[in-house]
Amino acid sequence: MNAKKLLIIYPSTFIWKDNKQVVMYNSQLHMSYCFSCNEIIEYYCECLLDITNLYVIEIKESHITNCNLIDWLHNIEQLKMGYVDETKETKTFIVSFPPLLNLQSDIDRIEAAEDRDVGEYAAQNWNEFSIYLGGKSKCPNLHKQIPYPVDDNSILLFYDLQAFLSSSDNSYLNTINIIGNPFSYPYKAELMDLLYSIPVKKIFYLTASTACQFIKEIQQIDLPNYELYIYYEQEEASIHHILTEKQIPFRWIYLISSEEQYEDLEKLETTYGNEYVEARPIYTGDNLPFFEENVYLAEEDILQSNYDKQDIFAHQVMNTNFWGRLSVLPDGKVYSNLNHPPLGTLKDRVYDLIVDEMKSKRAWRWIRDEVSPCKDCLFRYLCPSPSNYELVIGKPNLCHVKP
Amino acid sequence: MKNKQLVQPYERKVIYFDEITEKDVFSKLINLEQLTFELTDACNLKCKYCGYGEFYTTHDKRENRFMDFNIAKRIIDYLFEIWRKHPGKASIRKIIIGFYGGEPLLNMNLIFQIIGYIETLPPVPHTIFEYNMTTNAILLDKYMEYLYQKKITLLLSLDGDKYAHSYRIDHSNHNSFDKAFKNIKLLMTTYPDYFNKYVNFNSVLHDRNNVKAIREFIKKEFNKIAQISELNQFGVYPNRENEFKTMFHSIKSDINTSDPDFENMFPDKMGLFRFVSEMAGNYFYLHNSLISKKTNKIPPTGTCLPFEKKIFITVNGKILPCEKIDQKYTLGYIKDNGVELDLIKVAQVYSAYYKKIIKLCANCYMKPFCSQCMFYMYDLDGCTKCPSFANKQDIINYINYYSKILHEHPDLYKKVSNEMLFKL
Repeated sequence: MNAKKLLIIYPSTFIWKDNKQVVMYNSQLHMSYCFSCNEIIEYYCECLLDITNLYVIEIKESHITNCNLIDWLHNIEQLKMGYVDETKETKTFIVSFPPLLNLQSDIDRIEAAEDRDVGEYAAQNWNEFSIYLGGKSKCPNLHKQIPYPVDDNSILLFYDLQAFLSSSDNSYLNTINIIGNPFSYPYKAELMDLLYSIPVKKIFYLTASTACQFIKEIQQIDLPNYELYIYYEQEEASIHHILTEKQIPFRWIYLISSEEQYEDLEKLETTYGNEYVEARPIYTGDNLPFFEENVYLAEEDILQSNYDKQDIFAHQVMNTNFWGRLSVLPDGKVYSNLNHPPLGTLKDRVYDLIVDEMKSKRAWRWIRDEVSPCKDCLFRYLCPSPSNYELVIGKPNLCHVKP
Repeated sequence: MKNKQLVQPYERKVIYFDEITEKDVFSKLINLEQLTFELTDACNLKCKYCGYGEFYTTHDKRENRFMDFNIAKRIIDYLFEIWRKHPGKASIRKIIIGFYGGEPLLNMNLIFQIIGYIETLPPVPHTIFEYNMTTNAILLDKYMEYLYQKKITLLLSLDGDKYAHSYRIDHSNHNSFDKAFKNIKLLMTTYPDYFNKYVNFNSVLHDRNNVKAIREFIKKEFNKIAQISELNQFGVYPNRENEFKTMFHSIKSDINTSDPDFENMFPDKMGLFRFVSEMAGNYFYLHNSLISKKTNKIPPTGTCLPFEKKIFITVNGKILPCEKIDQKYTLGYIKDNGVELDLIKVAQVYSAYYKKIIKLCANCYMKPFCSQCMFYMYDLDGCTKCPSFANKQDIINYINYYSKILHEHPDLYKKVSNEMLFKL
């Protein structure tokens, strides 16, 4: 009996194909192989994409000497996408396992199942809650890009906030963000008691100008597990000194909108140490070239993204930037993303808002499949999920790839 | 299995936790899925292979007792108080009240009382109650109207045709098939929509039936797909083992993978699901598992956490995590003065078992695929031995078994990956 020649693709290898080219990506080794097809290779690619072949295909005897095919198989082996095996055995059960996401909390599948309910995982899908306290803001619209204090004179109704949080099981929450100075909030004692009662990490986002008052007051109370993110405004050596001395965990957030600021940023990093400084790009309305140069991705960047199988699966079903996040503004309106209309208010039940968001494709499930031109791009699952920058800039693909 | 990147799935690192806390146990009570009552230990049948019958060592003596309503009431009050005070993790908390026996329909009065009592209690916000029952169908004709009215989900025990059912005998040693079959047909014709939606079948596999015949019979007669169970191999009296072995048939050996109807007949999709999930690395439980890079810690073996799936109340008021386990593992009691359930102690008992078992698991090749319940291990309190312990050859056989199934039925890969949903 002649030996059969089999091409076996690794379970970690993804294959994406359109009319022009094919991308193979080994998500374990972070290697890629992009190629275009001739007729024979096209045939084998289609076979590989047929899930019932389980990533194992037999090379036809008539093709074995085809030079293009030999090169192709060689590349597949060299680039670790799979391997060629010869077998004479008839009773060997060679199978591989194409990457096919099996997500038990998949919303479409649960909605389709008669005896299941999307709300089953409501608490487990809520990761982060951001409370915007309001007041004056130096950059009134910046909260649409990053957790920056909002310019709003409304007073967040504390008892609504308390009722909202007590209507759910909060044990799955990871973080509560408080944006703005809680010690200027009329219900500051009640708020601190409430935060104390929920044993999750708290992050306070403050501007440098409000940090001094905050530091003085936070030391008077015994709040565990918190961190300060302070928006850098100018040289604040005294604040830095107090925080390090008191061993209060914190970091400076440096807002960067132009290349001219690099020098200043570098100086800050040198003065305080990299571990204390985090730079966040911001779109000002007139600095698109800065984003094109520093934020946009090229094909090489995308292929070097080093995403693993888990990341790619995530990109197929969820927005990894927005998933699990809710925010409330001082007027009591609750959002899954501050660039979109509110889901409801603090008078609603948390779970109802979560279920509403899970069923929609507004923010938590806003993926590149929903976005043109990304939905036609072979690299779309190798790209980060769409972010607030896309929404604020008004361009859905911050990249240089033309699908 | 020759796939070079898959050769050692059994060497994949599994990280266990060996300690649970009172909080973990309490969280399971808050989110309890099922409260099951053993309404009576009496039965109008004496099935040869019954788990409470002649072959098994693992149950209390059957004394034809009937549960007192106060036992049920005390645990209902205890749990309702928890549910009222603590929101569950689901938007709508669905709690199933299960009726089990013996034969639960022998204590129908208690079913009326329990359902009646729950209906009179002030509602728990965002919580719904549903009812289910496992029954041999002998008394179905008498009570079907009530079962229909309350939309009680039924799991009917029927092993196939008359011969297949012949281990299910009454106290005069007569095959119960005719009565059960007639009653099930009556239910089907009287309440067809209810039957269609709320009635399921369980058939026990043994030496007088086979998977294919069972499936065909239940499909033809009732247009349902029977769930097929093997006889419980655990806790058999040593002097009855030979007799038991004759009766026992395993699902794996019973069905032929080359059967053209294999995909429909194959009752071990859960086993294949577990195999594919581990081998492929495509399985994720929650969306958050996709974004978390933390290694998921699991308890040793496939044992459920206490009350993760259910709480089982015996006819005598013992509290167990499941009806299937030996009553010597009782976790609490319902007494005249209330519910005695020390959650700290429950956590400690489980943690102590975990610590002990982890040592056994260390050398086992089955780790990533393990579904063994620790309460089904031999001598858990002494010199413990695991019936699923696997050496290298065992795991190769295991992998080859499921690889062969996938090789011959590749459609099953997509089915187990994209169609099977479990509430874990």
